[in-house]
Amino acid sequence: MKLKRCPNSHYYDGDKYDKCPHCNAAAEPAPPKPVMEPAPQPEPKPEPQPIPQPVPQPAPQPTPQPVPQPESQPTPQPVPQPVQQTSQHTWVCNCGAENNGRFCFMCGTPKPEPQKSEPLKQEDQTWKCSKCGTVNTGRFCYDCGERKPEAQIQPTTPQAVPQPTPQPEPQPAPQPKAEVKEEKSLTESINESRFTGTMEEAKSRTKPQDDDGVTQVIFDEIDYGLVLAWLVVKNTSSKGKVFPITTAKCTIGRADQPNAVDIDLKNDRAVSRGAQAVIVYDPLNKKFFLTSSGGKTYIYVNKEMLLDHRELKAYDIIRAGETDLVFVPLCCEKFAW
Amino acid sequence: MVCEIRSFIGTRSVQEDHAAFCENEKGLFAVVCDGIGSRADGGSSSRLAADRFIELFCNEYIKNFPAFITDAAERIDAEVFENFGKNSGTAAVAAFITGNKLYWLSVGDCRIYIIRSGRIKQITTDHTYKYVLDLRRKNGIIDEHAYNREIEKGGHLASFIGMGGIDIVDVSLAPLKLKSGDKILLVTDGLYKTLTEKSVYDIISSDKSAEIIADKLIDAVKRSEGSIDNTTLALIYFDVTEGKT
Repeated sequence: MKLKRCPNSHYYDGDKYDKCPHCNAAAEPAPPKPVMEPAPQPEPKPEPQPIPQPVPQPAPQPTPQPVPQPESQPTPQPVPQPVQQTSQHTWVCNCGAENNGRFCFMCGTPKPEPQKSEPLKQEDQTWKCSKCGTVNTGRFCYDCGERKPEAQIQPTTPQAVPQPTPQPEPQPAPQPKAEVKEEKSLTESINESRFTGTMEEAKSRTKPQDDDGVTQVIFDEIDYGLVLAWLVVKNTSSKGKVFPITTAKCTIGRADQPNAVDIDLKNDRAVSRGAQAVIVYDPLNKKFFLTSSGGKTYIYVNKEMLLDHRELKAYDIIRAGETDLVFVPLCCEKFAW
Repeated sequence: MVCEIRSFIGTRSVQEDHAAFCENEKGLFAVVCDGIGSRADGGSSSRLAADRFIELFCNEYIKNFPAFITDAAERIDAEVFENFGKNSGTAAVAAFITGNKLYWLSVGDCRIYIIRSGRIKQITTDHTYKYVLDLRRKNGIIDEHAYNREIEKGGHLASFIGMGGIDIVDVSLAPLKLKSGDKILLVTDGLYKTLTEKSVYDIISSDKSAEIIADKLIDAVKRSEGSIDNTTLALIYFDVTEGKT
């Protein structure tokens, strides 16, 4: 990163950009700007003109889709327009810095919101009632109730712009408003409901979200790869090595060509080949058990020989061959997957 | 709500389609099954599937329809497989309307259409080998060459009831909100391979009762030339006044 400063006082990364990207952004029409940016912008849409009036629009923007085509998703339509407006025009903060974003990059002052002053500007405009001659500011003549002639709104607006942001564009904004109101199209609602895929996924997706009070068999539901407990080697040259237990039935021993084991004590030659013991996790009671697989190797738990099975408690020490393993459970009464 | 079922044997020697519907306090449930012709007992499989869907619908307590119907499909799949072995099977679509909500399920290449405000729209996906190939090509598992080599088998069924473990399924995770005047059409492939979507729409959009429209649709299939597969349809007219009761 090489911090540089351009003539317009923008800071930027000299390694990434040859020229000031902020000035570039201001100069170019910046086509695919992020959609997040116009977030504060949509407000001006409803405000400038309470009644959408499609007729007198000079249509500087592409005309919106005709209404009877709900297929073409209506939502993306209004978005591009505000994007153009924001990225095309920079604004000057009170501190003198020129900005593109919503906040001044120098002093952090938020961008002055043009929409707040716009309605005021409209109220400043006066019009003369054609019937009784009264001069009005509102939408209807306060004397005779006559409606403000629509044509008068349009031409006066651009003249009466004493804004720091010199852009007459915000006017066409009310156009998309009519479209936003439109209901979700049939295609959209179908796509929201439909699912095509494997039966497995369909089953998991249609499963009731809330607990219906029925005890379920949760044995199959523990996702493969989630750690249930750990075994930590306490002695030998592998001291400190950790074996995570990630299956509900985890075999301990020394791996052999046909007999793979989950926990492979490969450096301990005192352990016979194949599985010597199995750690079984009971997901219903959240307990662990160690069972002997009947191999040649003696298995001890806390120096007691394991002939059949026994429950494993936290920090029990399992001895297989010459290796001592400390059992550290994760799943217990307090926590389980 | 009205549900009309029609079927036509086509130019085949046996009718292997079966359809049924049932209306009770839960709502209206319709099912259309298309037994697989190239396999033995296609007709028996589709009859068993249709009957069992209706039976389960009537007898089970249904709190969550998507979960119920996927479970039912799986059970019926196992039953068909058990009864008729791996040489039989059936495609099936089921639709359930309660209040103004539409739920559905599809396994195989039967279809559900919805007809609303000037448009006809297919809700389900056809579970054919083409669907699998498209998916594989999209995910980069096969290249264009392999795709073109295999696509001639694209019409084969990739998923059906009675395969002993359903592979692909279409199910509504959330209900589709219906509007008054919506029409729902469940069909077997005999109909959509004979009539175009447009001609189906033209017939349905004429302002007639469900009974007349169902007759007209099946007549249109009968009138068409060439070999015609077994054709079955269930046409549901959704009316908001009745739907709300």
